[in-house]
Amino acid sequence: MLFRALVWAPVRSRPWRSLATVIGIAAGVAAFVATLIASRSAVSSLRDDTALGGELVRIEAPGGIDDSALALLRPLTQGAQLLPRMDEWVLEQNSRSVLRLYGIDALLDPRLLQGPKDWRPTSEQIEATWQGRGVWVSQELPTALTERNELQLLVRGIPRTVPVIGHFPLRSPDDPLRSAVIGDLALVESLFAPGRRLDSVDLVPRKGWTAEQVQESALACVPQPLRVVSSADLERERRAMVRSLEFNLLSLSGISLLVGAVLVATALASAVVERRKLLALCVSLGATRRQLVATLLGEALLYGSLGGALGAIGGALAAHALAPTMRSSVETVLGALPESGVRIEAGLVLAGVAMGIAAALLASILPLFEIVRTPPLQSLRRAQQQPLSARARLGSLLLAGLLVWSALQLMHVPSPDGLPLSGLGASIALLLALVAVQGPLIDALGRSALRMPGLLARMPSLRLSASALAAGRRRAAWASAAVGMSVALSISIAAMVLSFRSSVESWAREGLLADLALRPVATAGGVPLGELDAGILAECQSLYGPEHVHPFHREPARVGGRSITLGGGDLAVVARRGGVAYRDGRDSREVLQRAHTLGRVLINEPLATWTGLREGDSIRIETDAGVLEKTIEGVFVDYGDSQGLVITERAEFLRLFPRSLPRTIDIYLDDPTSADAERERVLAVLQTRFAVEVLTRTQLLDRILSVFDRTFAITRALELVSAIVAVIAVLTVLYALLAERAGDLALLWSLGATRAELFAQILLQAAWIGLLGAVLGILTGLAIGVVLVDVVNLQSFGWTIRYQQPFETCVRMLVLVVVFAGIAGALPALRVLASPAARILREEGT
Amino acid sequence: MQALREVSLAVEAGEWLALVGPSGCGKSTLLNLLSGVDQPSSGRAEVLGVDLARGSERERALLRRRSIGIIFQAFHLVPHLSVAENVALPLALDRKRDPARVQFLLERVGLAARARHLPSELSGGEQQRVAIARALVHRPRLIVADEPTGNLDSANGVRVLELLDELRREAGAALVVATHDRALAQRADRVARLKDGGLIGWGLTEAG
Repeated sequence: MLFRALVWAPVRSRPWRSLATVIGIAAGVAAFVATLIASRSAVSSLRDDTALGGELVRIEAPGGIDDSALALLRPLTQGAQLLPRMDEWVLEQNSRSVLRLYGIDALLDPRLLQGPKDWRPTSEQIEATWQGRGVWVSQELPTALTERNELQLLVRGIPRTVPVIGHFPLRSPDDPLRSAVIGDLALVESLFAPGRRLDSVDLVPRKGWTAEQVQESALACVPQPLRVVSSADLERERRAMVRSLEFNLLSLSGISLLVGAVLVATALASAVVERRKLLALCVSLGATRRQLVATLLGEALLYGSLGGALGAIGGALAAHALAPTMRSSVETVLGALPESGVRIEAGLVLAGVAMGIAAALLASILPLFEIVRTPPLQSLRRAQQQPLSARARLGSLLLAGLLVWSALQLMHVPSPDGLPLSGLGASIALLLALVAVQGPLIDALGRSALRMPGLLARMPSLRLSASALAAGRRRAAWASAAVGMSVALSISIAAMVLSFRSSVESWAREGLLADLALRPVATAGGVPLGELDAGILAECQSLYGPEHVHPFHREPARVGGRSITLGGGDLAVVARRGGVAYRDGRDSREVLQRAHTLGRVLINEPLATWTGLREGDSIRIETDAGVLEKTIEGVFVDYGDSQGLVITERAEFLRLFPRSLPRTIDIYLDDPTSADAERERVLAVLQTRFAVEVLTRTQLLDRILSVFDRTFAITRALELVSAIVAVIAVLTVLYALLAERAGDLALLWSLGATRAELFAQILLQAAWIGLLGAVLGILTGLAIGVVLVDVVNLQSFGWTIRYQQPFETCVRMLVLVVVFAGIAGALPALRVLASPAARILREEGT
Repeated sequence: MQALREVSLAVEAGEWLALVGPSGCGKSTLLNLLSGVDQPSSGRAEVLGVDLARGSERERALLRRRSIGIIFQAFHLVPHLSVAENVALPLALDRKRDPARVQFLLERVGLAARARHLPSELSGGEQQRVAIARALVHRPRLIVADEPTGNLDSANGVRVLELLDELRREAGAALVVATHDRALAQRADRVARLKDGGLIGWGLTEAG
């Protein structure tokens, strides 16, 4: 009965406000669920342990396994089947889709031909596979790619046409085999180069053997540098690679849920205000506080369940749309990825609903205080809001100060396990400080207007709107806080992206000095994929001489148990013109020349951050040819790799990885102004045999920045989200605020103000809320931007970024939010001005 | 339902007219009509030359802001404007400034020292004195007051009433007061008795 009177009837009478509340929470939940599903889907394409089987033990080595090593593994055949495997990512030539090319022993390996019960390859297909006459692709691969039963692949810069034998079914929507191309080892080897090493040998336990037993036997007989890893180890490594990225994405969407919760709190507080008389009447008639609290919690539960369910469904649907953008972001950090399906996990959807409910219940805490303070009807008029007491003001400011101090302290706390927890904590503390300071700020606004006696006569609308704002301080503070949080989120991301972009731009401009850059053809997302054939290097060297050509190789290696990349380059070639900046400020030419002369290595900044290694330290790099112990000559700034990169002299690198092919080739011309003509010349020589990209320095810089801009295009959407949040916050609050101040408006009307003047005053009041929220949000956002740039980024990726303030975005956000907030004031204004002033005055007089 | 029917009365400049009658008799409705807050659904109501039935929203607003002063039973001060600002409000709405007039009225109502205080810091009697100053600040030709002493104790009520009378005499404004208070009504130049929305006679009693 009480619920019907206090909740159901008001909810039904204000369907739009209820809808806005539900949308507020649904938007937060949807952002969270969509980010989670899309990021999980993007990184799921990295999975390969289950791609060709279930539980297994894998033997691998940096740089690959030589055939001769297989003999050493023979004792293991008793407990497990030994299945050698090659895998490499290649590009489909026309669509530039990333595909994963697997080479397996088709005779031995039963896993490919195991499918669902109703799926069996024909005997012709099986025979063709064994004979290496073609490859298998998944049934989900776009048919356009295999139109004539052929696949056009780009392998190491060389176009290859491969017949398609058949299509295998997928086991789940996010099966990593979606983008797989599978063929016999001999065929795959021939596509690359004769003598290509195996990437791994999978040990599939035989009947009666467990994976643990096989792993134990393998550990006992496998010599160094071969490594024995289990499915669980592989999964752990994959998760470690993407953990920081996932954490950051989740934190971002978690904050959007927080903004959603503030919106719900705003709406619930407004609902309490609107029903104040009804609540007071119930108190007079004997309703207990507990009963009133239960009704509000019931309402929060209603909004939370509906918003959570809508958000979870919306998020699941939006995940499909978000997946390409997310993949692009993940590619920027982790390198090219194949396309992956989007799998909606029921657990995630349910978690979304639970989060909606939790956020709504959390949001009801402060409105609950309001409900508990509702006096009986008889004393309602006396319970008008008073100006903030000096004690309350001081308390709020002290709390804000304490939160800012905590944020400053947290910025210096080291991150546990590479997760930027302290950075996130500092960001949340700053957001809470923003909320704490709203009340005193609005109160101060009212007080300062009070100290300007001439303001009323000069600008009556301005003075009256400031007065109305101060009169509804508590509600206005909520709306302003919601706007501020959303703006802060947007500005902080803009600050991070701008800082990142300008750092990358100056890093690329100052450091990438080659006149021509040869790169493998890039994926649709703009990320170069694969290696360059040895013939390409030979052509370049014959055109310009080895002293002008800088081939750069990369292979996986490990430092202190951490997966890193070992790079090999001709340091003397680069030293002539110089390269990227070094952390200690030395001229790059000097550092490169010393490294070349003294046989030292260079490491990138992330590796130095993760391991604490410095210039002059000794570094131990594990490769399949043994351990490389070197002295570090310099630590260079690097935004192309976050896992760790060590660069050594190419000759030494090739001693370790004799079959390695260059990933990039840079050409330094005697006359840099002839770059365009020389590009044409190189293309003319190469295009008959190879498909590679030849870019001038300007084109390369443009490519880097365009990939960057595409990756962070989502930040533009955040600005719009902030404006929409401002509209919802102002709408929900103004309805309540104006309902509460309807008497004041009626009074002004009776004293001679026209409805148009009152309308303008309300719009101004709404704009005030937007302005306060936007200004505080901008300041907080700039501060959080510092945390993101200096703490979160460093803890997540190990990059040093120069902080840049996004002035343009700040101005745009300020104008956008104030205008949107002002416009949002129109609806409540029209509603309150439609009520007969005489009746309101009579009611107020009682 | 008709709140008022066949009421025909005229108020002269400088005159004090009291409206008396039981609750629901139409006193407040009549005051709302006189002050341009309400419009008649039929018939004619002309205040200071403005036809309220036909006048536009803006005409009625200008009438209220320039020529009419209103005093409410519940004072109705704007809570976050200072005392001086509350008094200056009708001038501000008309884009006018007259600090000397505001100061003069605050002195007359005995609140000059509290000019910068907020209404919540004043007693009920003081709040009503602010409302009186506000009703007079723009030199209106007509003041309407709805139970101006209704929320005050009798001693404060008498003081406020004397002040109102004194100030409106100085200003030469007509005063129309709706009241239940016979003592207050006795001070008026004329008393109109209302019942069930109609004017039933003049004077406090039928004998007049």
